[in-house]
Amino acid sequence: MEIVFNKVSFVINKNTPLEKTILNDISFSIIDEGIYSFIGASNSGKTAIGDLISFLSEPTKGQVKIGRYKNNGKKAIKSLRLQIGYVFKNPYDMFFNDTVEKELSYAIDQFGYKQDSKDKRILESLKLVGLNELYLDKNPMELSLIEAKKIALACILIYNPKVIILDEITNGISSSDKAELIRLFRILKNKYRKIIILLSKDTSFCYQITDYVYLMSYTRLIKSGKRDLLEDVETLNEINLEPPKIVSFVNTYNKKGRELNYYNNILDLIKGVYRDVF
Amino acid sequence: MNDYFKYRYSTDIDFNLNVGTHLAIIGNSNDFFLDTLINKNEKCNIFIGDKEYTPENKYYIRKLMSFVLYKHLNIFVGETVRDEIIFGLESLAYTKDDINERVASLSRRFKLDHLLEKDPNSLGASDKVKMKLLSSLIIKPNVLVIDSVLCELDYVDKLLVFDILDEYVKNKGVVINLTRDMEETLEADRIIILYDNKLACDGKTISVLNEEKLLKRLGLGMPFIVELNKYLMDYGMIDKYHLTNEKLVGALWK
Repeated sequence: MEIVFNKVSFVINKNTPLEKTILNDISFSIIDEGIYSFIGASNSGKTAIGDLISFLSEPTKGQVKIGRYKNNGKKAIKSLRLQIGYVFKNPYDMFFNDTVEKELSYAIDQFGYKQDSKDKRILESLKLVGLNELYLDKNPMELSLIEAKKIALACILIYNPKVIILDEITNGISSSDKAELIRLFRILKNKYRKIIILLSKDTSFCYQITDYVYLMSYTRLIKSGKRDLLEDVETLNEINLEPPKIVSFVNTYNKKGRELNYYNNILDLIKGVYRDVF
Repeated sequence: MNDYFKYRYSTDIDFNLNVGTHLAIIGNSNDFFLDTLINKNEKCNIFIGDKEYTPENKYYIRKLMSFVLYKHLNIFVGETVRDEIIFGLESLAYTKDDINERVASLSRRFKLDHLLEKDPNSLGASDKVKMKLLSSLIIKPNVLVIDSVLCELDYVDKLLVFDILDEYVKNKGVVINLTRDMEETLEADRIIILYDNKLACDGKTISVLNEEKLLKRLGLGMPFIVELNKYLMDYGMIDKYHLTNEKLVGALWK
């Protein structure tokens, strides 16, 4: 499944006093499976990219192509919806049923999955995000933020989309939950060949798993490249982002005249430091 | 003033806070704690100063205690950012000069002065959080309760906001930060862990973060720099905590 943005601009509230440019001349293409991160501070237009890929809004200029679909405001896109899963920034925006079970089974009913495999699918998707069947009877609006985020992710995983878009998924979740997410993303990428698109400003998290990075700032796409783009501290500081914690530690360490590599997880880092000191 | 803020819930939770405390509350019962603070539970006794929180003096207590909630982040009362900010002051019938003075000084402090005439819906997430914090701080409450909104802030804004909170705490305020993000707890003076509606741990920041087994069992994890220190201590390379990169590297290569 190809995702192609060709010179896309996006303006909201056009021809009114509230006119605001969200995206300005963005071009990129995503072809293979993998984990792609769009990283930028707030106001940089990350959420608009998610909206455009999932056809929630229409570009003002330029073309957005997802597989054989073109984003030009036409509505015949039900089979596209089946292939794209989008988790919003605020998970409570996604819920409209009174129990978690109805919420999860909505997609199965809509997309015409077999009813006899419904229970199995529900339990499996809950298991993937690390929850259990005790949550089925709860009201999703009364869940805590972290559980709501997990349920929102389960709602997406249940219909097995090809493209998964996650908007600020790591905001306000604990570090052990982040480790769980990393494990889940690895499974999704390696075993199920998904395209995972992360819209985030959490560079420490993205540095651990991402394959490809797009840096954004104030409506523009500034740089794109492999993961080592996140080791470029000057560019990150320029666009108001925190360098990954491991990178800033290694940089401080190397000021002492050492040459420690950039490791992508803490255990390797400790081993590296240990070997270097002794 | 010792023990300015007192909180009791049946026999399970019991703690007192002095003025000038920055408290971080972690664990899985944040929503429950917040609910008892806002709606008042029968089993729950809250004292602020020498006044008890009862349904009768609810509005008096609300003047002393201000909230910034995640669920209210996208709910606005005004058409512009200025209306949004001064809503609290107008409700308390402050004079116009007083309002203008406070808005001018605080909005400059929060770096929001160029956005005052904008529509709140058009702001980015980080500016929205700053606006909500500002509209809570402008009535000068004695207790500020923050519910997991600081994670939405950008890097530079985060440094600014923690700076402002430090200043607020120094001026005899109490900050209660309900959070999931362990990195934020490093800014606090004191940490309380609530688990399954019970008090699991209470103490100074570094002594709570030292409880590695407890934190792992409750599924909370540790901040990056503390985790790094801990591993290095296990290898016998350092003998005490160094909470910045510079100090840690200095200790490794002394």
